[in-house]
Amino acid sequence: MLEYFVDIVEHRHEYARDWKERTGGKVIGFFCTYVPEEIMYAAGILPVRILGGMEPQDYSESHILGMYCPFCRDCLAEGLKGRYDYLDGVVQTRSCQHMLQAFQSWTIHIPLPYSYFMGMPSLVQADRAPTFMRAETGDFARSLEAWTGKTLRDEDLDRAIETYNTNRRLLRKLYELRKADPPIISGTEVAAVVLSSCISDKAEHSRKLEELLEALPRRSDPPSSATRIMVVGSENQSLELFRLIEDAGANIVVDEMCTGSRYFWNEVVPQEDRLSAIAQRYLDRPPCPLKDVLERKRLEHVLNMARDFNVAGVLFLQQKFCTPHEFDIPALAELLKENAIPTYALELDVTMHEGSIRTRTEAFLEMLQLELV
Amino acid sequence: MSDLYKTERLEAYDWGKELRLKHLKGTGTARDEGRFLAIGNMNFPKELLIGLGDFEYLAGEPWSVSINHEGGPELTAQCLEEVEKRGYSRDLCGYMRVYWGSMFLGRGAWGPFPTPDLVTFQADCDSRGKWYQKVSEHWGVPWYCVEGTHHSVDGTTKTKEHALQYLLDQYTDFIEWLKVTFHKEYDYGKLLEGTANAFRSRAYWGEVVQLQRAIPGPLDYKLLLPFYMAIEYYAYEDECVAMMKALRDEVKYRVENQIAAVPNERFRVFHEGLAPWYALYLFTYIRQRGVNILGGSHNYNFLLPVQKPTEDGSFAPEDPVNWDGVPKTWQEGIRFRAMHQLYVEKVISDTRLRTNVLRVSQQAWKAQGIIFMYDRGCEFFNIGQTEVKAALQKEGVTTMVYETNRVDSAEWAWPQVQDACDSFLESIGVPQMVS
Repeated sequence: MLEYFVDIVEHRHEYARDWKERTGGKVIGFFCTYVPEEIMYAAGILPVRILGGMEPQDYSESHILGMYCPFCRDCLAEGLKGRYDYLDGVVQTRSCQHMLQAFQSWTIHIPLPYSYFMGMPSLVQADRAPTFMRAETGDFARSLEAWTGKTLRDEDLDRAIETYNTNRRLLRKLYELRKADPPIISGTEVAAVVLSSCISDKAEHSRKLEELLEALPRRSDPPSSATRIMVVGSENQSLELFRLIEDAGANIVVDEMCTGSRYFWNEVVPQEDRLSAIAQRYLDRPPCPLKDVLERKRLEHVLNMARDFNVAGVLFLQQKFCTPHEFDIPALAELLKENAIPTYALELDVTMHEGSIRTRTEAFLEMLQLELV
Repeated sequence: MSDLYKTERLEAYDWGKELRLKHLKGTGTARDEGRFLAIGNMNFPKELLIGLGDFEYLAGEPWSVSINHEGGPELTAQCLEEVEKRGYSRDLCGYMRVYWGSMFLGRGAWGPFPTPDLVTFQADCDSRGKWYQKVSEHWGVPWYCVEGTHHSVDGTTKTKEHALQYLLDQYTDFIEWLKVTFHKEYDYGKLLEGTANAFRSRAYWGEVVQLQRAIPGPLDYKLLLPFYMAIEYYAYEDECVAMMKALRDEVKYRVENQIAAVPNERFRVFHEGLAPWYALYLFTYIRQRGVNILGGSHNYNFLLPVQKPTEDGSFAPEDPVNWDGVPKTWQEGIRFRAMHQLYVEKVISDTRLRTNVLRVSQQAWKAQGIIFMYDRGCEFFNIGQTEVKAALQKEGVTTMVYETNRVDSAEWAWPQVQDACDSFLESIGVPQMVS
């Protein structure tokens, strides 16, 4: 059952090509989870998140400075290598500067029939943000209509919203199962489910996810009991990383990452004006640290998650040079420490240093076990 | 190398330096003198504070430069270490790290770090929002944040009307917040004066920037420094307008009389990126070879700071400064300020636009090459830096790259930079120095 999700992650390009052939639809790559996918889906497009290949590369070095995060450089490298040659377009929204650069370099060097940059408030919690965000989603919708020649009707948007909300609800259900000790599903397996959701047709994904949720209680080989930890950070595109961490003696039982819970945690709440509802969903989602300026909602959100899922420690998975997360880590570490939850930061690069990650994780887990004793 | 041109001291330069010190040092005495002290980032629209009364503004970026330049390497190192001790990464914004260190230690270049009455900031780059989030938490005084990001990268100077309105609404919300928070009347007449002054300062500066096209260049990199900072820092003041007018007149005189900043100017280059403040001898090294570093898009405050975006989104640096636009109402004034903010943000963020700006400017200012500073202490000014360089290089423009951090000298490797300079200068035809 889980093989389906792992297969999509490991053969993401084949999946997208196959989808295109089966449906005759267009595929658009997006760089950040603040891009409102529902609008593309309503237009009959398959949105897929652009991920890196985690291979040694020198494709992006002449386009993006080495002090920008490895993830943005890796994403661009995958494009330059031609791995995303099936894309009909790329979309990015105003999130961080690193992904902005990856998007711009992509559009300069990999011209595609469609590219779009959507504005997005930095101050998502500001009173004025919804009006601006609504205007931007409207412009995006009109741009897609002009490109596809398809008018986006309320029924189309409703269908997309419901498809996405269903997938989000199912993923939340999956996360709920992780509260058990030991959890019925490992962190690595859950990562495969969420990552595959970012890069596949949500309707198909939900069908398989429903089957998985149905089958899981009868599972004969659940994970063994181990130290319960939470992972916090930006992107992780590698199932191998989670496997390494769990093999060191941990159960990753929850995350606060944009390739994890931040991607799906909240739903679109219906409104008469569908685009307003979609816009509001992206303003209300658990914020990326960059967007969490006015209220600092993120600290409390992470703490609540750590408590709800009863974790013994938090591992920060820090993409090297990712500024927004570098800002939040000291504040998060302090807050968690005050609440008797130890933390440790692992720095991620384009490629993974297996030995170093294993040693550090083992050291952290040993420390947690001493704390538990 | 014999001189080709006569040179004279630039009188306005001392005024520029004095005004800078007056403001930076004034932050320590403002409250005792009955003015309120606001702190925040330099490009916050400070004009909006004028209606509340007399104030001084502690702008983070020049404050960090003052630690680096006047406070010296020891204080800078202490500041940086203090921030690292608190768990912050070394690759975060260089200005911010120095500033935070100064704030945590409670020390500046001339005395204690002053206690503010309020914190006001503009979230535009990835650092500034989080930078002053921490500052507001540190001081526990009233704070307000507006947004200043541009929201398109289409290679043009166009701004969407709703993006402009978004910013304008935040400005007017901020004014309302000031009234309520400080229980004071707000003087909209003063706001108009401030915005009009800022317009005039920028317009004079726009003329100076155009005059810098002359051969020999009337100014060089060093002479630009106090003025481009003034434009971002206190352009709203009467004194700044007066200074900029005096500068414009003096520069005009210099151009008419062939008075050079670099008397043996034989070559002209641009410098893209801010300076490594602890190693300004880099510029002297280049200057003494008969090369005038004319400035760059940052030093010119993005070249045409007073131009409104054109209808078709084109960019034309030869356009005259638009004096007709001086605001006549405060609403016009803040609209102009918002447009200026979005324009500057767009030129920085939009790689295609910046490439076009630099291409046109390099030709119009007759620069034989461009030096690109890859700044490990600032991600914002590095957006597109490599792409811009590559695009112009492909078109035949001679370029040089050096990588460092504008305030952290631990990342400075002078022998390496010197080698790069020598190769670059040789490639544009500058004769080798006889040792």
